[in-house]
Amino acid sequence: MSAESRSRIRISRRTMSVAAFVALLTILGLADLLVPYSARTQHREHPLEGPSTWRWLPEEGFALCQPRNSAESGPQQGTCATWSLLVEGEVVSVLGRWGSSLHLVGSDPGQTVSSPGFVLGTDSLGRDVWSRLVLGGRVSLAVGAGATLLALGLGLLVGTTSAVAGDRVDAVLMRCVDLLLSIPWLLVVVALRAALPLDLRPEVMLVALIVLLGLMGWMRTAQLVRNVVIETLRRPYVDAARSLGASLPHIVRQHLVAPTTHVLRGQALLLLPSFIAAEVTLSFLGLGILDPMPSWGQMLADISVDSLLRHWWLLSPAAALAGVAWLCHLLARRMVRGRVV
Amino acid sequence: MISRSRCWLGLLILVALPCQAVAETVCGDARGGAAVVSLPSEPRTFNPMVARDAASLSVLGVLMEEAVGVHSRTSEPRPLLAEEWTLSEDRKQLHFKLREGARFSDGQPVTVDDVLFTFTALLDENVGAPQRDLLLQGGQHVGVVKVDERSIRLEMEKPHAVGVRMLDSLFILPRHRLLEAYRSGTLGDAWALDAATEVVGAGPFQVQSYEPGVELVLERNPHYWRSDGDGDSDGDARLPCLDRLTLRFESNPDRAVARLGAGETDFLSGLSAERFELLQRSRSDGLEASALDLGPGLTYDLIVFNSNTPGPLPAREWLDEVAFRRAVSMAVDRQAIARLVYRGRAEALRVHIASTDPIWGVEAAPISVDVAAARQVLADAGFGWRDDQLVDDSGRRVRLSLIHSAGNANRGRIAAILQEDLRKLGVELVVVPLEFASLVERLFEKRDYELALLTLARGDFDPNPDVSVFSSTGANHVWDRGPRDPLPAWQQDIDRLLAEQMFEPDQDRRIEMYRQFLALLQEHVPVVPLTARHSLVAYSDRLGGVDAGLLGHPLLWNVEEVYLREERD
Repeated sequence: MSAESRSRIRISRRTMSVAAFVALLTILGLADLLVPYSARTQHREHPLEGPSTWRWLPEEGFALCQPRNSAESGPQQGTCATWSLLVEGEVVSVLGRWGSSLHLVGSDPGQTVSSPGFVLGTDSLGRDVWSRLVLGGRVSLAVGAGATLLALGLGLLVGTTSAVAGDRVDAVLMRCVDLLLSIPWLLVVVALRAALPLDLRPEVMLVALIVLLGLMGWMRTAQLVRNVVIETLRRPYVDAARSLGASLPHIVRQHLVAPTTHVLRGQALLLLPSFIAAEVTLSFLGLGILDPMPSWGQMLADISVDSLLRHWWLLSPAAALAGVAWLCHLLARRMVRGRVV
Repeated sequence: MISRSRCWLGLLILVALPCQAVAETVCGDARGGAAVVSLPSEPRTFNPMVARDAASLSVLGVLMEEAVGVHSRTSEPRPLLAEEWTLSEDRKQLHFKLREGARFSDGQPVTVDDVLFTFTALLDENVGAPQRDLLLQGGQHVGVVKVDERSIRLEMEKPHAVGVRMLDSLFILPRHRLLEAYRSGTLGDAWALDAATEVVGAGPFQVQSYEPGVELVLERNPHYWRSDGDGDSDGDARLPCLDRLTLRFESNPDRAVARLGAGETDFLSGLSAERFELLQRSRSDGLEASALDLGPGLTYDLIVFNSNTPGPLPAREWLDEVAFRRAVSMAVDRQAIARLVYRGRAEALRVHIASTDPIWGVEAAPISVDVAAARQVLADAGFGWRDDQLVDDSGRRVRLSLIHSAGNANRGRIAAILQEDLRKLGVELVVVPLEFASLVERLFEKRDYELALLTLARGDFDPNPDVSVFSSTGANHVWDRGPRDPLPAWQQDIDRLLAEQMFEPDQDRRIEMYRQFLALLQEHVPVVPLTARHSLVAYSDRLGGVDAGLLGHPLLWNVEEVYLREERD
């Protein structure tokens, strides 16, 4: 393979991973319209129902059919519910504001079938796993992205202050960072939840969680930014610029922005999956996102040892989390290579 | 087991007669061997005078013996160290006679003096034994009189309704071992966890070794009073059947199940429905253990409305409204909880007692969910709706929080169901899982919560333990820690009924009083009982003589009769 074609492939892969990311964000942004059910609706007659299979029925069109040999599907097995595009269904609030009863796809209303059909099955309370996966993904990613932005901002602020001020300020700030790094943040979160007022809405909890994770995760970034800035300021070309009378803003623009941005980008791609994982951990323990708001961690908390093999669809949030982490990893690798080449 | 197979042959070929002769012994030929029982938590003490937790009491039941015990399944009193007893006509005097030849594990005989010493210590305020309250119901004095060398008489000022059952869990202590500690006022400090091997009791087993956090290894008490057979204690064959019993502490239920599958554990109790079904399915894959559903147990889930004064505002005004509490009770889908959370292995409750309770239960009638009726009740009480959200008569939106203990998936699921059920009334319920210590702090000290989802356990089929939960002065009266003045009239009635039934000699009248109490609970809804989950156990096929019931530990209560079947190819 020639060097030229390899680089073309590299570019197209990079484009692909960026495109995948954009697609993911679009899906999550429009999640309310894309999902067939609301995340909190409990189909109590259909707990732990397996994923339905798509079929094309010549007369009726597309249909979702229940798996024939599912233990949980009750006496009427093998029935199909027809689905169509743009269906009126449950009212969902798009982006938390506008109520809409229109769904891109959904079970046709007014059917008498044993099960309306669930793309990815249902959980133990009969909630649609696909809808919760998409809507919960938005919550989990919002937590991850929000906390990442906050952590990067704080890290940049503290890191540059420390590097530029130098000496005593630097020493004090960096010891504080060391101190904060040694705090077991899980315990802090647990203690904090007990101290917060009880009637916090789930939305407020979401913001609280973002702030909390951001406050707990900026220290590494600060250390890295500080080191990069100090290292750069010691470079001979910075000395040369200074001796030529360049102003501080000029030096920052010319010599500091590029390396710090690079650090921040790398950190962002590392922090995002780790914050999502932190949200999953907390919600798994029942201390993060609260019902009725779905999140990946909350969905995983529903899994029991018995479900691992028999109700594999409940593991879909874990797969989604792995997918996001992989995507971040891909992007980070592209970025590093792009710099080296 | 050879003796049993011979017995079957007898049944098939001849008549049942030869079978009887063989089956009269408890262990048959299967004597000796070691069994392992998995316990979810460790005992906190080996001292019956301070033991309060279930784990300590289960372990003590194996090391020690009471005068009279209670059958785990039938709840009938069974003679242990006392071979017979009589309750006087007026139920004020309990006369019982000690068994001859009973000995402690150090070989000393169990005498009337030991019994006197035990009661003196139990009734001593300075010792502070938890059983003291049960003996001194209503502050009444109990006199203990030595009649002769083998007989004791308990004298009460008021007729005691539970009669001889009050002797259950009162373990007879060896006077010769503990007298000194009692005299120096340090009885409460004796037999702590580090003194495991010093413990002496009249129970079927004695401590061999104890490794904290891992296991407690027990060996047979060679002096245990019960002989295996027709009561001829001269023979060597004494119970227990087993030589050794290991209590292994396994706090992780998944690992406990795995150990049972690997044959490392012989008995597991308190299984969740998922693990129970997993074990049931594994049986067809060659698992040599069976899972047993004992039916609705003595633990129940309930919603508690905070009624403490001063309570949280404005929620307190809604919670004080009986119509509001009733509407919540009507809207909650208990069947869904039993079906979805416990996979059908729970009973939907009308009152906090399951319908299977032998004496006190109320008839099982289907509990219907009626959202329309619940909304009508709310409307009649002055509530209204704005955009389908419930508002009170001054126009405030009804939002409530529900606290529960985090880290328990089942309670989380119940909370999610409650959230959806209350949404049908237009009530927004914020669910707050709290770590256990902060939950307890909120319930008992700060008292600043609105609704709480709890799981409580009844200690007995008999209603007496309910006094501590439902009586306004009870130690476990969670939802109103008092003092409150004046008490609502219905709570005064409940207090009176619960206090009077303790001394009601006529059992039928006592049941009647208890039914009145339950009716008051249903009318005024201070709590919403939800579900009673089934007691689920599993044991290896090696174990014989298992007679699992709901009272006490399902295996340890009669562990002396448990034997190991012979390994057969």
